[in-house]
This record gives sequence, structure tokens and C-alpha cells, in this order.
Amino acid sequence: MAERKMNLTLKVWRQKNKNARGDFETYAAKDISSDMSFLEMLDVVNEGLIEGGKEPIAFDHDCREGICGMCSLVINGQPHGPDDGTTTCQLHMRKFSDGDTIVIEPWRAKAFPVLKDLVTDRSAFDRIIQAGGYVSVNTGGAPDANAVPIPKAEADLAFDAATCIGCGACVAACPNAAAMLFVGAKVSQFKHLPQGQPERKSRVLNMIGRMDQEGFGNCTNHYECEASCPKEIPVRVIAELNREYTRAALTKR
Amino acid sequence: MSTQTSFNPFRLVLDFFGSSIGAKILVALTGVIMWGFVIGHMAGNLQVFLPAPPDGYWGQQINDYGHFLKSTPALLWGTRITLIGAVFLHIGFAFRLTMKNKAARPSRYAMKRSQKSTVFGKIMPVSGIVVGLFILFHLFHFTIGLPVEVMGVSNDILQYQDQAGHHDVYKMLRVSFGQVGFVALYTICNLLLLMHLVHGTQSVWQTLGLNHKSWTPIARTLGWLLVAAIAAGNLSIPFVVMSYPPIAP
Amino acid sequence: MALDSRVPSGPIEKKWDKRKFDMKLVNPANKRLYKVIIVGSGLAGGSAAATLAELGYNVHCFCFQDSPRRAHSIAAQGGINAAKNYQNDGDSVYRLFYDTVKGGDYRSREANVYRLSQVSVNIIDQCVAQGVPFAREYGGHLDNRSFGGAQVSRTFYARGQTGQQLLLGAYSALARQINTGGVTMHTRTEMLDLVIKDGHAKGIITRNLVTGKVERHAADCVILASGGYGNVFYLSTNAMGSNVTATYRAYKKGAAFANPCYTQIHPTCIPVTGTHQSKLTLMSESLRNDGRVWVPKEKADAEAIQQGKKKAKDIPPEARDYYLERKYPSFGNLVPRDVASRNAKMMCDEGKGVNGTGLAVYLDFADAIVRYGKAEAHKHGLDEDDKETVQRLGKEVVSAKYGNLFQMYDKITGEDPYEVPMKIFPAVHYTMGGLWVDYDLMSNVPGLFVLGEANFSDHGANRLGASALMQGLADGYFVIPYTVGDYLARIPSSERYLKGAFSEDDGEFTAAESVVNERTKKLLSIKGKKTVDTFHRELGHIMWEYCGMARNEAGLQKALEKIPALRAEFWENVNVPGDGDNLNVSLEKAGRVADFLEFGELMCKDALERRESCGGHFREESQTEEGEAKRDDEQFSHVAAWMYEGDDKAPRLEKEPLEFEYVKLTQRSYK
Ligand SMILES: Cc1cc2nc3c(=O)[nH]c(=O)nc-3n(C[C@H](O)[C@H](O)[C@H](O)COP(=O)(O)OP(=O)(O)OC[C@H]3O[C@@H](n4cnc5c(N)ncnc54)[C@H](O)[C@@H]3O)c2cc1C
Ligand code: HEM
Ligand code: FES
Repeated sequence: MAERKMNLTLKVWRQKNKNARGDFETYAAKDISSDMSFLEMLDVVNEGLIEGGKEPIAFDHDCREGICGMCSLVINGQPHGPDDGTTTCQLHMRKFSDGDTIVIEPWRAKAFPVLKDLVTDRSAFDRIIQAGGYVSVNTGGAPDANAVPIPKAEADLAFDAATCIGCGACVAACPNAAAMLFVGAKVSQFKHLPQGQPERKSRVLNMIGRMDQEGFGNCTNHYECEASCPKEIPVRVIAELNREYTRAALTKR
Repeated sequence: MSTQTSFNPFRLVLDFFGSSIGAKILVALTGVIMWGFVIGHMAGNLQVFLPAPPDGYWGQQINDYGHFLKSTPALLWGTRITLIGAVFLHIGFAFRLTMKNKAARPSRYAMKRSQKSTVFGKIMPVSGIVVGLFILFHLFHFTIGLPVEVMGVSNDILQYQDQAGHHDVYKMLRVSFGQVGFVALYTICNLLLLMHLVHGTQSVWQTLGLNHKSWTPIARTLGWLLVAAIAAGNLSIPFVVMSYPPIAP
Repeated sequence: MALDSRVPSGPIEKKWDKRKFDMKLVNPANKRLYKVIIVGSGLAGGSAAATLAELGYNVHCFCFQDSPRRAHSIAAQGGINAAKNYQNDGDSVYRLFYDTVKGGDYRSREANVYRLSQVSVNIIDQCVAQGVPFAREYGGHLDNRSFGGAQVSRTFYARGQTGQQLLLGAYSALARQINTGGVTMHTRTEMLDLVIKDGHAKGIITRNLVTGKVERHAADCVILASGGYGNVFYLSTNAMGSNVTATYRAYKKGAAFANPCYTQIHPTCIPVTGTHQSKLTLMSESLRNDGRVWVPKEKADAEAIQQGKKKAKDIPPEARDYYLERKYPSFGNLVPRDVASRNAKMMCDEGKGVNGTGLAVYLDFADAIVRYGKAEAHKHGLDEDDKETVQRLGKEVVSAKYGNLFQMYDKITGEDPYEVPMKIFPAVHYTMGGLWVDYDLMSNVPGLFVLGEANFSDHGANRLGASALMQGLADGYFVIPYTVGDYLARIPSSERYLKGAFSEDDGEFTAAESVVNERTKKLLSIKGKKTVDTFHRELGHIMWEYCGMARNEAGLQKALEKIPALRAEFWENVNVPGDGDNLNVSLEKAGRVADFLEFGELMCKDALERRESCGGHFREESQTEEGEAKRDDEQFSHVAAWMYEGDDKAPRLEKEPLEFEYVKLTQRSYK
């Protein structure tokens, strides 16, 4: 596709630190190439800010290829921006036009406090996994990998759930800042694998317990999470989560 | 040292409904109970359209039905208690969830674009509250008796008697829905109920974890049809009754 | 001080067992009395942290990302090798060992590689037990694909997200240990220096990237698993935060840096589009299973394509040069990476590049789509000659195999690779060099262990595809738990950290901390005119130009003049806004780039010194008549390990001779 150049207006959330009050600042992004990625566009703006002696806009990012889950940003009201099945770092400027105004905000949720500008603290996700998002197997002594065949269909279901990158877009998109797509994805992955069976009940109980403690909201079935998930994880995993939890909660010993 | 606790089903259920998912499920289950009631309630009321039986008179069918209910206290009170329980639990837990959900996003977005959520889903608490208030009004209107006169209708309507000496439900309806104001009120509230049920019906499968690649879409479509049927059935009563010639109170 | 690899004696297949048996053990009840620091939470660090905590050690793990799950290992796409021989195609531990040594162009240590091949089979078992969803066949058993440099199918994969799934496995094991208190995790924390006490590595200095707080951490030993340094080139397939700081700081504290010039340039990456480019994206090697690499035979055709006058489909089959298939008939498109990259460069140097910049070749799936489409049509009893059916079915198969890669390509380039061939070009991808380690993965500084891409150990001068994941996990799950134990068991109990033998308040710690503080202060006070990225980009240009895919004496000399000049300018003219007690992105970058500016010079020195070609290190002066890398085993069959001697002194070169008892040294051939 042929390269275009464009000038844009950015309205960016700036916040000095966790306790400071934030506000929007307006910046001009000039001469932006349609071949740039969204983050490269921000790099250009930041270079300009630094040259003007100002602090650059802080945002999280690392792999820049849509897999580490580090990048975030609510772009024009949509987590990870207007493109389907993409992270912010994969979003390219060819999705925008000359003269556009772009509003950029951080993930907003009680459980994800803003640390600076567009950077948020998502460690609540780690704590949910720590509560039970694993198979308790020590290194060594595992049986041969082919000892337990897993039907391809089940393996595929597990895989679809396992693609979660833990970026938090589901929480950002949810009207209730619920984390159930994230938790559901992990629970679903293990539910479909024989390795996940021994801890099937304790896992979901502990993870939901932690999720509630962290201050996430609850699913009221709007499916905004699915729509903004860069890995397109289906809300089926939330139904599975509900079922797994009910089963575990009512039959626990 | 054993940490084995004895099995306590009470605790188990309490813990479950104390959790976020348990609360959701309780809202869904009580919603389903009310669903059942709404259908039964509508089916009963549609008898207003049944023609007079041989040797009978217009409205006799529904009057007889009303009499049957009143003279079967076990059924009447059984239903009432279940419903009151369901309503309270539904409202209570829905309220709790809604407050938690609001608290989970203390600062709002300056710009937020929805991709999948519908108005029906977004206004669930509002439609719920309106429906709740409406139920209260509805109870005063047709069951307890209005404490004050509204649009020319007073608690006298509960005193109407038919030829058999039963409460004349038929006349009560004709008097009430002879008033355009009542028709409007019932229409608006039923539309909100419709909206509440549209989202509720789509939701309930997901909440209860009944998700299947092929069955869920079918269940959802059936749900839609049912909701539409309920709305049509419920709304037909005031509208059709209104079109009857006026009747003296 | 000579470098002693401490390889156990005996036949190669018995060495590891022997070593394990000779080790001193720590009593299980005593393990919690030892504190271990691990820098890095990638496959190497994460697996080591989890496993050591399972054993009972008191582990502190550090990463600069906001979660251990985001370590750069997450980005690995293609797969992980293991000598399982599930395909019954003749694989064995010995063959994997052989392929790896040969693929590394005979510049790795045989004993280490053999052990790697041995434990490779356990890795797959372990990962499956953790719930890693590897690709499966309909019968429910694990599937494999082929990777470059091998003629067997031994690569296990999870769609195009193998690294992600493996890392999430290690991360979940780590999370479990964090939950039990066995691991204390320090996220958004960057190691800025190593602390040495009485000749042993005993701690690190870190900066909390959110609060800016500089902290001292002491322990009984330090494990570095901080990944590779490919970002010295500015543009690479590495994550933006990948850095050399941890290993380079260790080097400055006395650890030997081995073979810094060994860089892997990956043949299949998305070409550069403009100066704004911040990173390059890899298209997995697995694509070469089915994609055919070509350029037009005629320069005129290539020029027409470059000017946008012709498209790939305008070039008829007979006018296409499938140069890898032509030159290497037995390995074809699956030659090792160094060979594939160099050939792409040669084609473009001949003026046959296929994009606007002339720096790209085609990777074409059209034939694969037809082949799969026909097979599917046949399977389902459909018309194999119906073009539309064949195309549809073929695309479905290709999508199931590589869907996410195709989607990624489409997102970045705006072109649909199902319809037009991909354009690819080599890019910096992996660094085989790293801190020198012995058989136990311990550096020459006692108590400093180095794992994963951060060490130099297993890949020689060129890493085979799908072997880095294998190495990271082998090191972390199956090697370090034993060898660290041996080191710790030898520390007398009175000298242990948790016994109060030393503390963060000791002179070595305060001194190291003040050096770190000084540096931060300096960086913040320059307030010059150029941004950190500008310097990084300039360094990248120098490195790519003179120390990239092809290197020569004159160029390297030139780089050795340019880099110190650029570094001097950096310390005069860099602009780092903001302050130090806050989240400060520019400051983080500045520290890393400052280290790259020193490290780049070391790389060029090493490249200059190694006057032979081997694997990824191609010295133009040393090539065969056909333009293949020509080794000089007489002079260079050694590991070049560099020792820091002081900022104003040249580093000292130590050599560890490489002996090959099992694999016969030959000119590598993939013909
Ligand atoms: C795009 C891509 C695709 C790849 N595909 C494959 C493949 O298909 N198969 C294969 O075998 N290999 C592949 N590789 C190579 C392989 O992924 C890496 O070599 C390997 O994952 C490195 O693992 P590691 O644990 O050594 O380091 P990393 O995963 O890079 O982890 C480094 C860790 O160290 C931490 N760290 C670094 N510096 C500091 C510091 N100063 N202070 C504190 N913490 C620090 C980081 O936070 C991180 O946790 C690929 C590489 C890339 C770039
Ligand atoms: C009485 C006043 C009522 C209030 C305040 C109320 C409120 C709510 C709220 C807040 C929710 C959850 C919102 C959500 O999940 O998005 C809900 C869900 C629901 N309600 Fe009500 N509601 C009321 C009456 C009713 C009635 C009369 C019915 C049925 C006839 C009903 C059926 C449902 C159903 C089926 C759900 C879906 C449960 C689910 O999430 O799966 N509600 N209600
Ligand atoms: S930066 Fe890694 S997913 Fe975007």
C-alpha cells in the first residue's frame, strides 16, 4: 500500500505519578507516515517533547509484535485502538487519516492504578495466577509427553484459551472493569487438559477468591472484552468459568 | 493436627452466593423464577379475551380464574412467597453487584466506544428499578387497592362483583384501561420489562454456564421469540381492552 | 588466569551423569538457608527460579517488565527442538548433538551440547505436565515440524506462539512458588551492577523503575539470565527493553565475555520501511517449511519490481530464481539461518531485491497452497482440478499452520500474504556470544552463574532454529538446580548470607551503589541536545554497516574509531529529561544505550580479531570460492573470552581451546 503522510492532533492523558491528579494535554503529531506503527508515532512525538526539554509520554511496551502483552492504551475509546484482533503495538497509522484527533487514555480500573501517564500497574493479574493458575508439578519426574494422548479438538480448545497475553484490555473494555475473560481463559485452558484435572476445583476457587479481593467488577455479559481482546479469546471461557466455579463451590469438601 | 471441617451445606451455599459468580448466578436464577411467573401471569391474564362460555357472560372466564386462585390458598401463597423471595434476592444481589461494578471503575473514560454492548444491557439497573416500582404499583392497583385515586380509578375496582358474586376482574380491567393514562403507563413499563428481559434472556445462559457452540444460539433465538411473545401478550391486554366501548365504573 | 571449562572426564554420554554424581549436595532442610538471586524471568531465569524454589532455596527473582510473563522469550514463534524421535525418522540424542555442533560451525563446546541434547527430551515431558498446549495430531499425540539445519522433524510447536506457551508454563511454575513464598519477585526492577565480595558474586544493585529507588540485594550467589544483546544494532527482532547491561556490568566486574561478535542474522524478517522504524519483526523460520524463497532471474525484472512497474505475479516461473533450492539441493529452503541470510544479501547486492529499497526477497506460498489444496480435495473426494476449491482448501491448511504469522504480516505491511508473496529480509535476531561459563554454567567469577541467551555456551557461531528455547529451559530446569547446589554446598555455613556473614551494608555494596547513583546523576545532568534514541540509532547504523552480515578488516577498524567518538559525544550531549526518583523512560534507555556504546566496541574488537569466517560471523577475507564461510581451524578453534582491564585499557583476550573428539571438523555443507 502506498505511503501517506498525515498531521494529527493527540489528546493524551498525563499524570505525574500514582497519587497525582492527571489531565489531558494536547500535542500535534506532524508528518506521520501511514507505514508507522501507533507506538512509532508516539516515539516521534516523544522525540519532539524531549528536544523541547519536556518529559516524554510514558507508556508500556516491549516486544512490539503483539505477544508480550505489555502495551496498552485506550485509543479513541477502544482498548488497543480501532483494529480487530490487534494490540496497540501492531496497530498501524494507515488506520487513521490526515487531520484526525486521537484521544489516548490509560486502562482505567480500580485494580489497575495508573503509575504514570499511560502506564498502569497490572500486577493484580499476576496475583490471580499466583492463587492457582498452574498445575502443581515439580521439575523432574514428568511422564513421557506422549503417555497421555489428548484429542486434538480438546487440545485446540485449550490452546484458544491459552493464547491470552495478559494485557488487561478485557478489564479496560468492560463496563464493570471485570477480569473474567482473563481468569476464564486460564481456567478453561486447564479444564480442557488432563493435566489440569487434579486441581480443577481448588484452582477456580482460589483464582476467583483472589479476583474478588483485587477489586475487579463482575461480568454482566456485555462482551466488550471479547470485542477488544487482541487474541480474540471467546466469551465461551466466561461461561466455562461460571460453570467450573459453581461446580467447585457447591461440591468442595 | 487435622484441618478437616465437617460438611456444612449452609456454609457452602452462603460462601457461594457471597462470591461474585455466586451472586450473578443467584440473580440469574431468581430472574428465571420471575420469568416463569411472568409467563404464567400473562397466560392467566390473556383469559380476558376468552369468549363467554355457553350460558355465561363476557369476562366470566377470567373472573372464574381469579376466583380459582383465591380459593386455592396453597397455590396462591406458595407462588406469592416464592416470588417475594425471588424479587428481594434479585434486587438485593443485583444491587450489590451493580455497586461493586461501579466501584471497580472509579475514574471514567473521557471517551469510550462500545463495540458489542447493547442499550438493553447498559440500562439493566434502570429498567430493573422501573420494573420493580411498576410491580409495586401493579400490586396496589389490582391486588391491594390504590391508597389514593389515580386518573379516576380508586380502590373501588377491587369491590366489583360479577353475577356469581366473584370479584369482577373483567370489569376492573375495562375500567382501568378505559383510561389512556393507564394504558400509557402499562405500555411504558412493559416495554422496559421487555428490554430487561431481552438482555436477561441472552445473559442467563452465559451466567449459568450453559454455553454450547450450536445450542446456545438456538436457545438465544428462542429466548428472543419468547420475550417478544410476552411483550405482545402483555401489551395486547391494555390495548385491546381500551378499544372496547367505555363502561361505567 | 586460564579459563577452565571443568568438563568432566569420560565418554561424552556419561559426562553429565558423572558430574551429577560428583556433586556435593545441600541437605533438603538446609536449602531454605541459602539465598539465591536470579536476574531474568525468561525461559532460563523463570525456569531456574521455579525449580530452585521447588527444591527449597530462598529465591529472589528480578525483571524489568511489569510481569515475569513478559520476558522476551514470550516472542519466540517457531518451536523447540527435542530428540524425541516421535516421528520415527532417525532422530537421536546423538544426531541432535551432531546437528547442533555442525550448525554452530564447530565453535561450541562438545560436552555442553551433548548434555543439552540429552536433557532436551525431559523438557518436553516437563512442559506437557505443566499443561503447555503443544500442537497435536488427530490421534492425540504430539506433532512436529522441521527447522533449518536438520533433516529430521524434531521441532515441537504451539502454533506460531511456542515461546509464549513455554514461557507461560515456566511463569506458572514461578507463580506457584511466589505464592508459597519460595520466590520473592521484583518486577519493574533493573539490575545496574554486580557486587563482588572476596572474589565471589554476592549481590546486585538495582533500580526500582517506578519509584527510582536504588537498592542493594545480597545473596549467596547470583544467576544472570538476562537474555541477548541484539539491540546493540538498534534495529533487531528483540524486544525494545532487551539490553546488555546486566552482563556487561558483570563483565566490568571481572566476568569474561565470550565471542561477543557472534550474532545471528535471521533470514526471514519483515523489511525496513523507513527511518521511523523502531524494531523489526520476525517471520518464523517454520515458514520455510512451506514457503519458497526466490528473486527474479533477470536484474531488469527486479528493477521493474523495485520501481513498482511489475509485480511478483508478472514474473513467470521460468524467470524466477529459487536460489536456495538451486544452490543447496538437499537442504533447499531449509538451510541454516546464516546461509539463508547471506544468500539473501548476495541476491540484493546483485540488484535483484524486490521492494522499493531493493532490500527484500520473496517468500512465496503459492505452491504450498496448491499442493495442500490438492491433497485436501483428494481426501474429501472433491475435484482436484477445480482451481477455486484447491485455493480455498489450500489456504485453510496454510492458515491452520501459520495463521497468526500471516495475520501479523498483514497488519504490519498492509499486504495479504495469501494473495501475494511475502517480502522478507535478514535482520539481527540472536546473539550467540555471552558471558563465558564453564560446564556448570558458572562464569570465571565464582558464584556468578549465567543461563540462556546471556551465556555463550551451546550454539557456537550459529544457533539452529528452535534451539534457544531448548537451551534456556535445559539450563533452568535441568542443569542449574544441580550445579548451583554444588557451589552452595561448598560455602561453609559461617559464610552464608542468612547466617549474617555479610550484609547489604558492607563496603562493597555501598561502593557499588554510589557508582550507580553517580552515573544516574551524570546522565540527568548533561541536558544536551540529542535524544537517547538518536545515539542508539547512530550506533545501530555503525554496527550494521561494519559489524553486520559481512565484516572486513577496514570496516571494523573504521567502526572502532567511530564508536568511541559517538560515546564521547553521548556523555557530552545527551538529553535525558525528568528526574531520577520517578518512572523515567528516557533515563532507563540512557543507561542501556551507554552500555551498548561501550559494548559495541568490544564486539567490533572481537570481530576484528577473529580473522576467519564461521557461522554468523562472516569475514569477507575468508570465504570459499562459492562464497561460503571459510573457517580457519588452525588458528581460531577457540572461544575468545574478553576480560575487562579498565576503562582506559584495552581488554585482554583469553582463549579457551575447543577440542572435538566426537564430531569431525569439516567444511559445513548443505548442498
Ligand atoms: C522474535 C523471536 C523469535 C524467536 N523464535 C525462537 C524459536 O522459535 N525457537 C527458539 O528456540 N528460539 C527462538 N528465539 C530465541 C529465544 O526466544 C531466546 O533466545 C530465548 O527466549 C532467550 O531466553 P532467556 O531466558 O535467555 O532471555 P529472555 O527471555 O530475553 O529474558 C530476559 C530476562 O531478563 C530480564 N532482564 C534483562 N536485563 C535485565 C536487567 N538489567 N535487570 C533486570 N532484569 C533484566 C528481563 O526482564 C527478562 O525477564 C526467538 C527470538 C526472537 C527475538
Ligand atoms: C424488580 C425489579 C428488578 C430489578 C431492580 C432488576 C435488576 C436487575 C439487574 C441489575 C440485573 C443484572 C444486570 C446484568 O446482568 O446486566 C438483572 C438481571 C436479570 N433480571 Fe432483573 N431486575 C428486576 C426485575 C426483574 C424481573 C421482573 C425479571 C423477570 C421477569 C427479571 C429478570 C432478569 C434476568 C433473567 C436477569 C439476567 C440474569 C443474568 O445476568 O444472567 N428481572 N436484573
Ligand atoms: S508491546 Fe508486546 S504486545 Fe504490544
